[in-house]
Amino acid sequence: MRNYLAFLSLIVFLFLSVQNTRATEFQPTKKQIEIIVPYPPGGATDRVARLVSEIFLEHGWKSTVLNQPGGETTIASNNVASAKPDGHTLYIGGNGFLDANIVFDAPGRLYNENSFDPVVPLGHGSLMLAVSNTSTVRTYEEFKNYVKVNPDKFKIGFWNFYTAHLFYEWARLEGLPKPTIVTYKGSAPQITDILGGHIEFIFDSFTATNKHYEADKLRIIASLDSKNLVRVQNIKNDKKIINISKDHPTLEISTWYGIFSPANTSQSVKQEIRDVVNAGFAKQKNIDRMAELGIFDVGGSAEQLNRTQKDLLSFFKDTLKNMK
Amino acid sequence: MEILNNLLAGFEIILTWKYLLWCFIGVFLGTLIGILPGIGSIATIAILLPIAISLGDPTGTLVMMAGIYYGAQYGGSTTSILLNIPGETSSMITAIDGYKMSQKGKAGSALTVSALGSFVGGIIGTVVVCFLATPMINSALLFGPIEYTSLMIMCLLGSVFISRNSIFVGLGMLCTGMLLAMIGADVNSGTHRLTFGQTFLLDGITFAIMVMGLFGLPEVLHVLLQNRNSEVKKNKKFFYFDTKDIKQSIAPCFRGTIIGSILGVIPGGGTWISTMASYMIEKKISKTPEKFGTGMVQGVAGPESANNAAAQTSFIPLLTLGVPFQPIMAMMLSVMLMSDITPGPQLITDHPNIFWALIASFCIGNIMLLFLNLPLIGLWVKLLNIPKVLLYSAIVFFCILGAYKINNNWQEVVYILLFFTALGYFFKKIDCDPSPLLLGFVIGGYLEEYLRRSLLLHDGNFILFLERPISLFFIVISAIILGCLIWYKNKNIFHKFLKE
Repeated sequence: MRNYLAFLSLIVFLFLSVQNTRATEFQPTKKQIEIIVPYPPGGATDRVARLVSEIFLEHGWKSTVLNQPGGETTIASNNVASAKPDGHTLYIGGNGFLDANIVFDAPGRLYNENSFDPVVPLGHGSLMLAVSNTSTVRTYEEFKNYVKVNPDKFKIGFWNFYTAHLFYEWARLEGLPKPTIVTYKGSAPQITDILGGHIEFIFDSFTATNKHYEADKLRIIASLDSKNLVRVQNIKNDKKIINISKDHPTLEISTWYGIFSPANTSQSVKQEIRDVVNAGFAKQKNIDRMAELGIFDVGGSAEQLNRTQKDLLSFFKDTLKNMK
Repeated sequence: MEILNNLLAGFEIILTWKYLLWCFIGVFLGTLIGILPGIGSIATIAILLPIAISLGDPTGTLVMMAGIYYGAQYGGSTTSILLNIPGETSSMITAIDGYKMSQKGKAGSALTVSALGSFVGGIIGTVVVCFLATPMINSALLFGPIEYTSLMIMCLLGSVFISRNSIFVGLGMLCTGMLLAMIGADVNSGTHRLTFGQTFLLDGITFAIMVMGLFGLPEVLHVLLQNRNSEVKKNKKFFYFDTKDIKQSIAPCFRGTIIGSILGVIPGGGTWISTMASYMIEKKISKTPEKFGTGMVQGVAGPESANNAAAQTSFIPLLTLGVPFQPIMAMMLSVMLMSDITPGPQLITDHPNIFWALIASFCIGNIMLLFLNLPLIGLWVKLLNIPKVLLYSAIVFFCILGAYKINNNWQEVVYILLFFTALGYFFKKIDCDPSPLLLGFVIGGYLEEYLRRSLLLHDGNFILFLERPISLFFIVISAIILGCLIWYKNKNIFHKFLKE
């Protein structure tokens, strides 16, 4: 019996000894800034957060990255929305947590678009329309004709169920038949399938597709936005790769990242954080590290981030929800 | 030639202080947990996973985690031979003759044969991985959703064989695992299934927490509630060493290596089955089969080589196809995915450094293990005298802290970890092996994903599963496995064998 009591008290002692204290005001040199990431470690969002944390540390601030995956980003978003707005809790957000979760009303969501203050944008990535080498399609025009003649072969691979609704809108605007969306868990399996010729068409990020395009293992025929169009055209000097959103501005949708704080964080705190982040991303080494992740145009003002977020949200609300 | 160049590049990476240290930590911990009964390699990897991932170096993480796995195969044999307490399941067979040898005062011979056999198995297994993985990766692009679906069916049926329970219990466990894999958002429609309105279940059950609950904590509780005396009593001839035993073990070592290398790649194979198969074969071909169980050196050399060879070759399906055939490989898959590395055909092109550094680390790790295990056996055995309360309090603490650190979510610790700990302890009490549940959980999730993707891509055409040659091959093998399962009915050949 004594053994078990000793065992229990040891465990209780160990847990009590790891309790920490909470910050009350913005003192980044004394108290840690927690950067909350709504995904597991290792992914693009996590790597962006770790880079931001490095920038804070280089500046002499204390910082740590806390991964809180689960509930399709709802768990982390709820936690940040209810955190103290003292600048010590920041959130690395992107398309999913605001657009998709709000429009499609994710269960357990305790926040809305006003629960967060935009602090600083962290750049954009682009989505490319890629075609398998086994396909006869070579250009976007050929693609449109092909799926019109063969509507049963209009199957598009993508890695997010919610955003997949975007492609229904794209097909409608282009006068194409309704596509079958083949959903993948992440980019890697769909890239493997298109390289093996098991799926003919996919939408994927610039980073995931460009190296295979360069190695002639797949073809890129269009970009969903203008941001990386020149970059992809320059790989093989192919001007036939077009920007789909040129004729349909509402489709100008990219993947984006930004830092948010809980609503009602003071302007001065947000400005201080923004200045440090912008200064960090002015350095070439950090720009290069973001480019490796396929993220460009890093840094900027809170207004830019607010506009990106609001534009996308209204697009989702006005157009896609009606299609659900 | 290209393989050798790539392997040399892998050695260049691994032979730096940083990765040598990772490798050493891995094999050291592996040996430690192999020796200590109560906590296996799966639970250890699950406990260390959040800490290792947060270091942000996928190569280091994988090298360390792999080291824990094959290191445990070495360490597990020490306590089997000296105390008749197998630290790892795969060392149970070694205990049969190894313990008898140590009782006869030939512990030194048994431990040397075991360490050398493990080394031979490990090194040859690594060579097999090196030369088989590249061609398999090159042909892996032939695998589409249809081929993967059939492969998953074969894996699921094969996994019933790894169960130490009856076939029906194994199938029941498998189905339960598949059902648990259904929890969370449906990948095709986004519909939430079996979440009972709980936000923390929306992304499904976290694999690492489930493993800690099913395997780690119940083992600790079981050991704590047992009053087993693990003190080592030495006699004068305890570490007596006989060169005759080494000579007699050369052939069994190589036979064991071949068996382990083959069974490591086959679904339902792995270290446990390969040690048993090796022991059965050694007994069958021996001129004195009646002496097996009384301290035959062949009964130690064969199984030990087999389990280490299988530990290495079981990486092949994971690295080339991204499919885990064994529970421990499911854990390694989880390590890779959490490091943003997707194993499969893209691994060698997207992360060649990681791939070849990992393979090179197998060689280095096996050499380290030889030095760690032979001269330091006395030291390792002393660890068993550490007070249980201290040791297992620390393990429980790190289990709970590790479970929390994975997602920083206390709800998962309270609900998922507690639920699976209770379930795991219940299984332990009724002597029920939960390994098929674990594989059902991992493979079942993949099976659903691939099956639905196949049907979406081919407009619901089931005939394609029989028309594609690779898929047909797996379906035929699955039918044979199913036939074997029906043939054995409720008979448990493994338990029968152990009783013999």
